[in-house]
Amino acid sequence: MVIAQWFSDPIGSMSGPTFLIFYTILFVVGMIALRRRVKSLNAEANARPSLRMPEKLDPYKVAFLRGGDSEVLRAGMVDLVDRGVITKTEITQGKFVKTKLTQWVCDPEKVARGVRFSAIQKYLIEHFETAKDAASVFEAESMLKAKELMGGYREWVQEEQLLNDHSDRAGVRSMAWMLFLGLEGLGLYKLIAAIATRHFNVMFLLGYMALIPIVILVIMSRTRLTERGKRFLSDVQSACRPVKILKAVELHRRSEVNVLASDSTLPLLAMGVFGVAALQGSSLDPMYRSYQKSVANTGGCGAVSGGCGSGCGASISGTASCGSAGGGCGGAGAGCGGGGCGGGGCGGCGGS
Amino acid sequence: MVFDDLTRLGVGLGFREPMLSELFAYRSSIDFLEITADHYFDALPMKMAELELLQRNFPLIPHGLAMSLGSAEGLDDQYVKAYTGIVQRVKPAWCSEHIAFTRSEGIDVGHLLPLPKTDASLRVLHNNISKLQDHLQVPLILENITEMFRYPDEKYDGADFLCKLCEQNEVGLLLDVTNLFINAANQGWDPIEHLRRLPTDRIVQLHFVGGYVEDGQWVDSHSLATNEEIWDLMQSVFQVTDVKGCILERDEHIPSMAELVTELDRARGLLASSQQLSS
Repeated sequence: MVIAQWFSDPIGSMSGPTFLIFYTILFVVGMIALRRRVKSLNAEANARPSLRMPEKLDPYKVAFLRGGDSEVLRAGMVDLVDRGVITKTEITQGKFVKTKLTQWVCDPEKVARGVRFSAIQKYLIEHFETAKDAASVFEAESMLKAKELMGGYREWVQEEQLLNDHSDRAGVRSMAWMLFLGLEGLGLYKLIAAIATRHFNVMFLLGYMALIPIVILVIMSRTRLTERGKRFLSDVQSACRPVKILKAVELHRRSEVNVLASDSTLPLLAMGVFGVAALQGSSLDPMYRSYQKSVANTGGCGAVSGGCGSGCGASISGTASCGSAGGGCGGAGAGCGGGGCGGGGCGGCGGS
Repeated sequence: MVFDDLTRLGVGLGFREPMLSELFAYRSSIDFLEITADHYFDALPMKMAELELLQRNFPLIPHGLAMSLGSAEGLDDQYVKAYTGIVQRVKPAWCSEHIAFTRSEGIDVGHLLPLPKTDASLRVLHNNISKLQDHLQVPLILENITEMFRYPDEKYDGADFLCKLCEQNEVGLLLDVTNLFINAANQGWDPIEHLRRLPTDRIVQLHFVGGYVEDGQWVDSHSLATNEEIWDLMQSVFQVTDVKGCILERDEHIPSMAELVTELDRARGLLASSQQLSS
């Protein structure tokens, strides 16, 4: 057996159980090292006292922290739809097979009534002057314009050290890739050696090899926010728990949650703090569906529903480039386009 | 004495979950929160996140409900472990429980029951308090409860019993002004005279809330705004002792936070004026 002779080195000739023990040790040590590296990100920020809950919560700020530029736009959109400034319209498409498309358009009468709009809302009003798909606002060109309006939020997260620095995260990503390639490469080599020597009991090894990217992804999924940022987001979400499901708030007419929203509406608060998943089944369900569809169509990062919200997007400076080791969002240019991470679903694809 | 050096916390609220959404909008009027320790035993992550949120934003005092310090059979080890776990986690200035029993022969009564005011009860309390204090790193203060009945042949009255309790144990008092008023009104004695006989240097914290009269008896319902009679008694308490904290304890028909804060501001005003007078 000539091929078998190629694998006469210590790894290739190691017995299966011994190799699995060796591989487990490497795997555990590697994951601990990666976890420690992730934990050590921005140690200075993490040592700072936790950010206290503000007396008046700005849902846009929380949206930015949770998911970056795209989440702020989504929050603004939800607010405008809730106030009737942007409304739903349905158009029929297709020559032979007719399909109904939901689009969104600005109501000029409501705009003209002179309600004060923020810069982000004005931007959205302008964007939806003609009927468009909800996700169109996340297209690269639009996002570049929108980014300019997010300066205040960007400064806030920087000052408060709530987001990890992009260069630090890039270092962690490199380490994650090295670990991934090293462990998978070693596993693959042993797998080929085993098959070449007619050892087919490789299920454990295959299982391990499948587990490696999952564990790495889990560890890497929470690198966007600093520990301080995670603590603050967790606090805000705990405090706003009554609006986590907007439908329930509407059903029970729970007026007491108004106080948290201060000057904001409850849908805006729910969207800002929890993402579009909070809108499911509520009077703003069409928005939820629009964003859900846009995720499916664009392959944006992360599910619409979901919880943790340390997700996508954004951004301390420069262009967004989603993607982390072994996964990520892959959207070029405009971050998690397509309305990806509503609901705070996706972790890890970070901005730049 | 350890109780003199305790941090002055001010005026706060007994935290109940429905208050959560309004709490932060009024944070400048809430100096500290008293949390019910039992609500966080074996709690879901969501509930523990709530505790972390509160801890990061307010000084907290854990208040136990079912330690049953008056149970002759001793303390429930699991309960002690859970309670002390919360105390260790919260790192409070002090922690509190009731002078009562809630368990007998392993059966939970589900209510705070008064103890017969006898030497035997004091011995039971001493044993249980000592055992609990072995696990605590912070001062323990104990609350007087509402007594809807009295045992026959009691050796002590309420004030003497509390004096003996404080003599025999290194504990502070959580004086529930409402309970003091209700017991006095229902049993027909003078709360001011009772107050003067208490070991006032041990009074660390107060509870106050409103009650109502039903069939000629006052009921400690925790469901109404503080009655004027109770405000008057509270003022008398402030005159005889230097309390470190006051907690408004609403459990039922919780009104808007704006309404609760009005009561907190009134208590804060009374406390401040009594402290000015004493200084």
